[in-house]
Amino acid sequence: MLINYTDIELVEGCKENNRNLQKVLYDRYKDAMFTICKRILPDDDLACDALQEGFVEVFRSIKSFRLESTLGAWIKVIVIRKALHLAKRYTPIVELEEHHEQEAIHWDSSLTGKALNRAIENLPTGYRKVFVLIEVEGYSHRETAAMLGISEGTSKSQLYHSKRLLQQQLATLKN
Amino acid sequence: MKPSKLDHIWNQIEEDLLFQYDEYHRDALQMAIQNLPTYLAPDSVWTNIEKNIDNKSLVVRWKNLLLVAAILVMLLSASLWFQQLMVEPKVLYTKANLNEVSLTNLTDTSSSIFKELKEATCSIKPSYCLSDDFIQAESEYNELLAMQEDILKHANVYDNGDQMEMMMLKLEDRKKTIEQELIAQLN
Repeated sequence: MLINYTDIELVEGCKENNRNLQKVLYDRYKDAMFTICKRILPDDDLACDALQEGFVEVFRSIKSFRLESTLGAWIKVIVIRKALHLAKRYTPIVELEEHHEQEAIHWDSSLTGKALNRAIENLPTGYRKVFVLIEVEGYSHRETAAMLGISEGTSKSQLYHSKRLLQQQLATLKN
Repeated sequence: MKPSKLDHIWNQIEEDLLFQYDEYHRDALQMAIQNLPTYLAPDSVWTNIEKNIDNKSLVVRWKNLLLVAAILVMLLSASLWFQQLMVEPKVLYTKANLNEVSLTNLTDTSSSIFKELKEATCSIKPSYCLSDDFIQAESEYNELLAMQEDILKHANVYDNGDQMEMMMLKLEDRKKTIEQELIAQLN
């Protein structure tokens, strides 16, 4: 069965431009990557564009993939970069003053994924990008700052403000 | 009043409790994040990706062809340029220059030039004419002439070898320098 190919076999196949293996690779990662695109770009069309451009880039540059990271992590970085690039066109990130004294934010224990998702969708793009990259995708402030072209301090500030806004959104949604 | 040991212990306990409280709330966020909904990629995206890959590979093929053509043109130009570099010096030093210099008449012309220069110098600056510098210059000039005559003799035997021709030119250069020095004295 095609699904049983290992990542290494898929990479080798894609390097030889094997269309079947390209499709297997796409099918393996498409939903996870589309989910990331949707979290960064709530607009369906833009998310589709990011996914498409991301995978075209993946197949185009797969010859340079050296197995230094997992295939999924490598694809994820490419797709996220495409999504961020598209997001930048519409809403450039605003540099905020660094916020040093950050109070702890307490989350309601009854918080659900669905409610959080709605609140994330309502966040301004700049805040949403930082929150998704750090809290959802698990990137560090340094990696996030590098991807967004901002300072680490700004990344920390944006995360703090995004959490505050999320809480406000959640409170509004609850009421 | 100094805080007692018991106060210190209570502070530690309070910090731990606060940390646990934060962690508890953080866990709530993490739980919610893990339960975020996922999305299914629309089928149309793959069709567009396929079209793009095909287009890109065509573009890449053309780019590769252009690159090969450009490299070939550069190699051809470079080889022509090198060929020219290899040929040019030979023409400059052996044929072109030496053809301009008439070897057979060289020594006769030179000796008459020097005679004229000597006459002029001695009539305009008789003191310089008798100086050591002039005598040394004259003797060097004569030696150069003798060497050139000697080379010409051998050149006739060995059919004008390149090295002999080069030597002739060097001697001629030195002679010209002496002539120029004499002219400078006249001025």
